[in-house]
Amino acid sequence: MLFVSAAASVLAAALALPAPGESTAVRGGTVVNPDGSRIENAVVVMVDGKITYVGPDVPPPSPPPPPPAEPDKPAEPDKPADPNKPAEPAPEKPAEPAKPAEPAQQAEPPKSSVIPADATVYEAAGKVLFPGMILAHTQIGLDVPNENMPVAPFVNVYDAIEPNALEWEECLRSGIATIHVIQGNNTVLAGLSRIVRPQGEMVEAMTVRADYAMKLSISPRAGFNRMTQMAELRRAFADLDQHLKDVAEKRYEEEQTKKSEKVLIPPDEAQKEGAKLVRAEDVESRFRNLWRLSKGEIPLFVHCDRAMDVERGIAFVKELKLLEKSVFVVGPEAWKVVDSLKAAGRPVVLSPILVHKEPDPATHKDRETFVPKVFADAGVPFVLQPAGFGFTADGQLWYQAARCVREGVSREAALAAITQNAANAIGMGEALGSLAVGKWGNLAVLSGDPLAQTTVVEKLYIEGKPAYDRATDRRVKELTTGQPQPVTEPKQDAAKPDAKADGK
Amino acid sequence: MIAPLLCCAALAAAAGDAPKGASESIVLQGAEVDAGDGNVFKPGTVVITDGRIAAVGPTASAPSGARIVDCQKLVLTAGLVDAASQLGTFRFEGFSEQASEVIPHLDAADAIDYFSKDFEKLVRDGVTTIYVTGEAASVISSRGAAVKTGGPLPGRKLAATPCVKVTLGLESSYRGSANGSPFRFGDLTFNARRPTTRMGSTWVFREAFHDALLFKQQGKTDADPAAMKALLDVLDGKVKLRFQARDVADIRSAQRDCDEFGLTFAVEYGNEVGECMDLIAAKKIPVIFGPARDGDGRAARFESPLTAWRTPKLLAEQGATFCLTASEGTGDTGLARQAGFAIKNGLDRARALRAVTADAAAMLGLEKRIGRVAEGLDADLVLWNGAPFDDTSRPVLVLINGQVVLDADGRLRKENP
Repeated sequence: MLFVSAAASVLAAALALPAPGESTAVRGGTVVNPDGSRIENAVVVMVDGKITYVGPDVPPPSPPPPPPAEPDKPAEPDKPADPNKPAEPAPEKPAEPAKPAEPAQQAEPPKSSVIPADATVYEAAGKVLFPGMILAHTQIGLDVPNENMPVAPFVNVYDAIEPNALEWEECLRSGIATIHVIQGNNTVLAGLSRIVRPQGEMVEAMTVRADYAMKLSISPRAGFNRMTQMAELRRAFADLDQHLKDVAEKRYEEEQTKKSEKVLIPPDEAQKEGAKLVRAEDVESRFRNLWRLSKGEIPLFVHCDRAMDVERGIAFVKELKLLEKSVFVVGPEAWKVVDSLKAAGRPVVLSPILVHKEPDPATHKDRETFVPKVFADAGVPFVLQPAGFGFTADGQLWYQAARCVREGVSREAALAAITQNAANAIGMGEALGSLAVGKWGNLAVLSGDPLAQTTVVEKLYIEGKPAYDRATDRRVKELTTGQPQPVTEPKQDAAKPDAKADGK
Repeated sequence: MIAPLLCCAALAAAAGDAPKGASESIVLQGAEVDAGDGNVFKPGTVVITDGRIAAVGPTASAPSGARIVDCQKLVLTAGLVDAASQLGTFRFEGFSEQASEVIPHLDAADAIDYFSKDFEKLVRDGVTTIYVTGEAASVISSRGAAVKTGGPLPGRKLAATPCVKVTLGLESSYRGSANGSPFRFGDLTFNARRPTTRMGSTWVFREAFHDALLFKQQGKTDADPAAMKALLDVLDGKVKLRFQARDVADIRSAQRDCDEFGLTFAVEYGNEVGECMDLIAAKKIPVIFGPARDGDGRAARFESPLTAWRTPKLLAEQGATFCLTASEGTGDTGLARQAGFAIKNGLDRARALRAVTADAAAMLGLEKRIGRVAEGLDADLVLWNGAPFDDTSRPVLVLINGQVVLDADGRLRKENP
């Protein structure tokens, strides 16, 4: 199954990316990046699903374009994407000076020298362009978040993701372009997770990263106490160790037999000698994921509910030599150990419960702590997640960010918590989380500032392609007008391009 | 931001130290004042004398010896009013009267715990007055009571127009173990008297009013005479009626039931009023709408699974009399967030402010005491650190009767020592 799904996801990735050379430009909006930078009247150009230009629109040189015929560059129009790939926008050089011969072209000249001539252009004047938001740790789309068995590293969310779940539509509506679906916290050791985009008829088509990470919980699952939890965790790794030793011994014996030699060393030495000979197919499938995890090949999400669990969690993953692969998923009380988390230097995913409430045992007065503020003040980057999904205020990712600002967290830290920090937590910081050249074309067109009260997601582009348009969102229409909408209406993928840059 | 907050902290200290009963004037200067009656002063000045608003305007002359407080960069509104709250009552014994399902002679004021932590939460949300509405476990429930969420104890209860609550729908017939159906208990207990269907709820309502009319004719009754007298007050129009009705069927039932006895009513919660706007508009039924969004899923738990995004806007467009309520909600499901949600879904900001201040006060018959920033009204004021009801804003200073109950450091101030 593992190989099948891996192969399928490679195929899916290939299918999902736009055709080579396909380019899209969103023009006229204000780029707002989580680091606080703004570009007014900006253009975002996306070619082959990646951003090739972010910056102010540059009009073509004011005199008529240079002499039309450039005989040395005849093949240019066929491959328009390549010259734009480098980060430098090179505004001096008009992107497409090659097709000025037809008079019709002169009637509608390209208005920009940064937009490729063949780009599909979407106008976004007066709108805000914001990176597609990210859910770095969620169970949406899974019917049940956890396996009944406490130790189940061999399962895979691939088998449980429901592509027809309503939540994906809600993601698009909320400007969420990337979702890391991982098993819940009620576990000892959980199986493989998957990074998906909220569109596609099948899991393969949704997949961004297959078999991405695993989860272990330091806090006890239901019915366990902290001691049994740790005992089960250690037993799982000890079982793996024993299995690998058995396999190594067997492999050593096999190799010796092949060479027609006798096994003359004791078992423990044979285990050591054979360790190098172990191949993936030798490891039983129920141990294979855990084996890869223990070798540091798979990122690890470590759930630590209480403050005391955080300390023990850090110690445990250090013991496993997996600290560098770890992401900490913490409960509200974790603000008490913010210094430990800072020292660990790993991404932190906060509980959706942003206010930690604790009655003072002596006075019975409630002490309330706004958790993200403590992390922000300590300079620890954090990731926000919504509570529930959709139907309550705090079920919205950006409401959580707005709450942070309300409680005194800086705007930059709050916005990063739903974009760049979340991208970093799922190992895609280089590809996602902001609008920058070289990153993926995940772009939300907002009606206003990301944290303003009346802002809605008007359009969402995923990997350079239109994925959502509020104007054709049947449910929004129904809820805002009260008029039942025909269910046969085309899905919200048909964002109409406003123009072709070359006037076609 | 820091400078005005410091000033407010100074005010907080000053107000706390003020001698009791002394005639003291405070002038709040520099804030954007949204009076809630259409007047917006940028900046504006509010003069408070003896716990009431003495003057409001772009500039106002400060009485001699008045304490002047700089509130620049803050927005000042009237304290919020929730016209259908379920908070502030004694939790231990509950607020569900089990003796009878017809209890219009009881008064919610007797169940209010003025030391409840609910009031602290409400103050933090900028809510300065709540109307504690009758409990939904009884078909004809108690009279509600309007109380301030802070300030000196003697002045906390307000004289709102008396109003009895009726609950149709599921909650009067099926509401948790405290109100379980007889089948759950196996044998007949006092719970067995409960209606278990919508038919039963409606029958209890009609029977009670028929009993009351009979009592009027004959001068005696088998039912509780006190309850019957209270119902006669309703029939005489001395006591108003409101129906907790979440879905269309219940709203229409309420209309039928009231038509039978020539009564008028207001709708409480009314999640689905958007689906029967014709009735609401034709009969001019006042609506206390909400909570539109509810953290514990209450709106979705019984009836109306679809949260009514457009309803506040629709009510405004239809010219309906309405206000918003958070019911049991505080914090992220509190009244300010209900207004924010309405704004997000198209309700005009000024109308949203009125829906949680002036219009809610009018619904309670308290428009001459609270709900606006206007001369002669109680100085129940909220200063916000941004546009009121925005997800990024919160109250930074709350005054009730001119006294600071939430100071700039987020500390709650109890009644005067």
